[in-house]
Amino acid sequence: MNGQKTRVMLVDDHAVVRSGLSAFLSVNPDLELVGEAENGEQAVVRAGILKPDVILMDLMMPVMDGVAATRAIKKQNPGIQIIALTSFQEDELVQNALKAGAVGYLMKNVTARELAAAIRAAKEGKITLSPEAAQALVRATQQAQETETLTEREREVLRLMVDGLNNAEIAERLVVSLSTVKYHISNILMKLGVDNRVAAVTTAIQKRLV
Amino acid sequence: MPKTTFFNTVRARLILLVLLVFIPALGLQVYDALSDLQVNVEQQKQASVQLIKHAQSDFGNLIETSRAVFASLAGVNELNNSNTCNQVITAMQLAYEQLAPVVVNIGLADGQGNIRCSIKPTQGKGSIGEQIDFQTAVQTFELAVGEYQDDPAVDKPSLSISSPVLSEQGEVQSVLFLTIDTTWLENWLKDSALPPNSSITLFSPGGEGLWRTLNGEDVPIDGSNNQPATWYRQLQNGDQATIEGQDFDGVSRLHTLQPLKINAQTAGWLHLGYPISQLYDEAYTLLGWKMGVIAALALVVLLLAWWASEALFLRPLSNLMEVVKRVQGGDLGVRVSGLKGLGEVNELANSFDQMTDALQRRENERRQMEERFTAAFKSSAIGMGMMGLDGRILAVNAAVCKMSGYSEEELKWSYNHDHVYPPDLEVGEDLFAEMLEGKRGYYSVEKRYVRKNGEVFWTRLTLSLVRDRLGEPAYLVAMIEDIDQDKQKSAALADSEARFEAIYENAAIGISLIAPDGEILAVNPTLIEMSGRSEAELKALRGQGITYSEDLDVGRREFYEVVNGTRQAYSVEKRYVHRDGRIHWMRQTVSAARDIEGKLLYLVVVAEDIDRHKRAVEELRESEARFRAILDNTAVGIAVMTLDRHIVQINQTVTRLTGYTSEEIAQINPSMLAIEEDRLIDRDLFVELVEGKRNQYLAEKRYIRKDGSIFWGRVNFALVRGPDNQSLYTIGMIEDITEEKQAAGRLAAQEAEYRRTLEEKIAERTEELNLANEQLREKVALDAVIAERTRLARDLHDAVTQTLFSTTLIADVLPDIWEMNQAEGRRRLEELRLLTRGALAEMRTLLVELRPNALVEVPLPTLLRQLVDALIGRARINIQLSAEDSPGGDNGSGHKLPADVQVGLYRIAQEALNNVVKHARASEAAITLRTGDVVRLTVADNGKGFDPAQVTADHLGLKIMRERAETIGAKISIYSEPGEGTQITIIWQGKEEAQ
Repeated sequence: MNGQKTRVMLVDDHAVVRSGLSAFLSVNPDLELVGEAENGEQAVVRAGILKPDVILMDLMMPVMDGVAATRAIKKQNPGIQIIALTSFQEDELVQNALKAGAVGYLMKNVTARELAAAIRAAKEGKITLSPEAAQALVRATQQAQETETLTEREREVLRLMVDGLNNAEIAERLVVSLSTVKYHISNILMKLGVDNRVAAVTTAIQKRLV
Repeated sequence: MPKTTFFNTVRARLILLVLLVFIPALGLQVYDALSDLQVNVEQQKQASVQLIKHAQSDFGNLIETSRAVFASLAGVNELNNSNTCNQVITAMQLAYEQLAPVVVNIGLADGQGNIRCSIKPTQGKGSIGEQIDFQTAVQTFELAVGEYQDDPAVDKPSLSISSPVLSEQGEVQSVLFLTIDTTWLENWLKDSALPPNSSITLFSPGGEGLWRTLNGEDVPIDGSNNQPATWYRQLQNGDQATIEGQDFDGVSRLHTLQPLKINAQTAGWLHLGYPISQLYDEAYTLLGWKMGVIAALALVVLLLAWWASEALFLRPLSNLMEVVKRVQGGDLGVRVSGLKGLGEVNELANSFDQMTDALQRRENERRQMEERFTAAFKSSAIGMGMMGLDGRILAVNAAVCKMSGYSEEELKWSYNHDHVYPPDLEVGEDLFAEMLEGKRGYYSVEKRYVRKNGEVFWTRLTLSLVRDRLGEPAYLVAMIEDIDQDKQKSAALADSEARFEAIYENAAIGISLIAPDGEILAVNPTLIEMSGRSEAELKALRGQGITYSEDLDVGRREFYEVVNGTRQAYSVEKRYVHRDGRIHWMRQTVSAARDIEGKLLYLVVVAEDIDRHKRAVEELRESEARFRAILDNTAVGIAVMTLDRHIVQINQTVTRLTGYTSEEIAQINPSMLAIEEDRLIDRDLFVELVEGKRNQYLAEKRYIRKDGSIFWGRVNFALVRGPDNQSLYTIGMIEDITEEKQAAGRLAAQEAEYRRTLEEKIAERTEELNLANEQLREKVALDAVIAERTRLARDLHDAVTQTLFSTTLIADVLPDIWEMNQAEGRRRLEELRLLTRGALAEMRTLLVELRPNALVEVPLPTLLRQLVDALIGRARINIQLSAEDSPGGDNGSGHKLPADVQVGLYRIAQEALNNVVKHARASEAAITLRTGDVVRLTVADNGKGFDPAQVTADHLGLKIMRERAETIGAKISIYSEPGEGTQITIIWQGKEEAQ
């Protein structure tokens, strides 16, 4: 099988990007462009027909986004390897793409050489992550740890804080004393690594802890 | 008593009983007889069949004998010698002698039937060749019989039997024959025990009757009784063995038929008519006899029963009945004793006698009692009378007259209730009713009557009810006792006793009875309780046992005076010691009980524990003092007022408050104490109070002091009720609340002040809130704007990123492409150029977005140029721009576009172009901008277009475009048709400068 060309499909809603990628593929003798799609829906359909070895999947697309398309294609044809190729590096996006089955996550500042290497690696099932993606994962893992360390009660209190209740109201809602609430809040602040309530709230929102 | 019909009587029942026994018996007999008859008939049938069969066997024997004869004859030598018959005859003769008279003739014929030899002459018949037996014998070479037939030579029917003699060759040389008649039958008849009246008939095979006997005697057969009956055929057919039917002589017989045959030859038919009518007759007769016997028996039994019932039952019973009637009639002396009957009847008689005895005894007793009663009645010292149930006096004795003052004539026929003292009329009514019902025999009441002279006196009246023989109430016997005197005495005594008893037992005072020597005779429960000692203990203590040591001498002198008789009673207060050591005060009253002579019987000592009372008195005094203190010293004025508003008592405070003393205030009408305006404030409330409809009320009034000054008073009136809840008096409590009132006024003023301040503050606050709301609204608007801008920025940024990424990729691989394929390389280079240009334009647009002011500073045509360039780079659509570019921001007509209009137009164009790129799938697009008095901006494309009716305004940013147009006061028209492309036109007209 080594002799065979790696069959690659391009999925991106921007024609310029597809154009550039096709130019890139043309200079790599071992890579063959077999198909294109401009949104997730098309990608799922065409992937089912063309059965490429590797798909370069843009994540932000209309009609059906890259994560959903990845999930669908992996379900239909688990053998197809998908590399997410995107300009976004949000932690959640990285996680979702990988959870959906992507075998690689690259930013749209990748060099041609890196991209080719990633495609070849993907064909063999090896994961390639851009440094940004790797960082996102690490952060996610750290966050998970962070969120795990909050107790149920602390999580409740944090939730109410985010809702905008003051301490007295929180105490009333949870039927505990004010000092108990304050105790919980100080623990929360420590665990989240912040020193005031507003920061705790913003962190909670940002990191979607509640 | 139920009427006695014949059917009820014993007799009838006996008859029934007898019948009940005999009728079944009869029935049984009948049944028996009939079934016996049946059996007999069967037997006869069988017997007849048997008999007939004997005939057949006899016949058979006969044939065999013939055969033997023939056999022996066949051996004779000259048999076949047709000339001589001597030997033959001799042999035949021998046989004949043996067989006669059964055999009539024996003979020999030749092969043709001519008779050669015969013992008896054949009388004219020379040949037997015609005979059946000859012919059969010749054919079969066997013995054969002919058919029975009348033989004129002989009286009787005859039968011929032939047997062939065969030559050595087997040919018939000659035929031996013999003739028999019916002698054998006669013999048979003799031998068989035929019942009398049996008929035997011999029929020829053809059915002709040949010979008949009846009862053993010959019966001549002639034409009238010759033909066989129908049963003949039936029997022949063999359907039945026997048939009952009429015989020749009209008698019903049991017929059987038997063919006389050997082999297949039937010589004739033998018929037996068995007399069965005899059987029937016999059976019926027997039955008749039996039934007769039974009936007779029944009759006998009946008669016996009749007589027995008479003797054993009816006579004694009627005897009894008579006696009963006599007793009923009143003769109690008669007895049934002369009765001799069966066991139970005897008993009945005995018990009846006993009953009569008892009746008689009772009657005697009753008479005696009556006599005694009459005697008693007349002479009794107690009033006795007899009354009807209605109260009518039937008889009275002398005592009644004496008691009542009336004479006997006056009382008789008058009514009881005429003499009863009216209030007592109903006394004893209920008891009377019970007596009538039978619940009691008599009753006794005490009831007052009125004497002739009008005096009312108490009587004890005892009434008893006398019932008649039937148990119904007949009349009343009354006994009246004048208990007037007694009653009064006993009433008094009872009263006083009761009183004493009550006092003694229940008094809350201790009573003891002491003998003159000090011995304690009796103590009542209260004393026991009071002293804490038992009866035994108290009795043991004697006299002053429980008195407190210090008070032993108290009342001593008076005590002796009582004992002496100089004093009747005395009372002192002294202390006693309770068992538990406590000392209580008591009031002790000692009095003497004397007999009629005045001798001292015993002393009655009454001890009252006045401890509590003494203490209570103390307490009361103290509490009164306290109350007084309160009353006087309280800061609340208290006045006691009668229900009619007289102030009877006031405390010091009232005086202080009002300036009046209690004497002065008692003179004043309380309502006058208040100022004129306030006098009526509480008038209604006070009325309700007095009437008891309310218990208290509160009022605030202004009062006038003695010195004329005015003060505010809060007054609380309360109603005091007595033990029966009746209103007694009222108590008024009054407080000087002038201070309070003033303070209240100040407070009110303060509150008004606060309210005013509050209102001001609220107004301020409202103002602030409105302002804040306004600001918020603005902020929201701004945020919206910013959000939109951010969106656009993001889009652009995104677009730029993509473009640049593509650019870098291409740049990266361009050398390789060029090497592979120059043409391709050149193409890609061109692409690169466009991309980079496009990216640059995007960047510029981005900058514009990020610097909102740029939108205004940069002339509109330049902005549009940038937009178009960016889009060309991105989307490979041929976009042409036609705009007038006027440096210096002047659009040629000397007017500069207002900032908001420029921004608006730019935004609209941006949106429209975005649509072209994203949705139109166009290859060409054109933007035109014309400025002048009217500014016209057009964006057109050759894309797929859309149906404006189908597409909602939201879609394609149309809504935004319209809104923007509206905001800047421009008209926007959007024209599109599916397949025809899209054109968006915005027209803005500048307003007059003067505006």
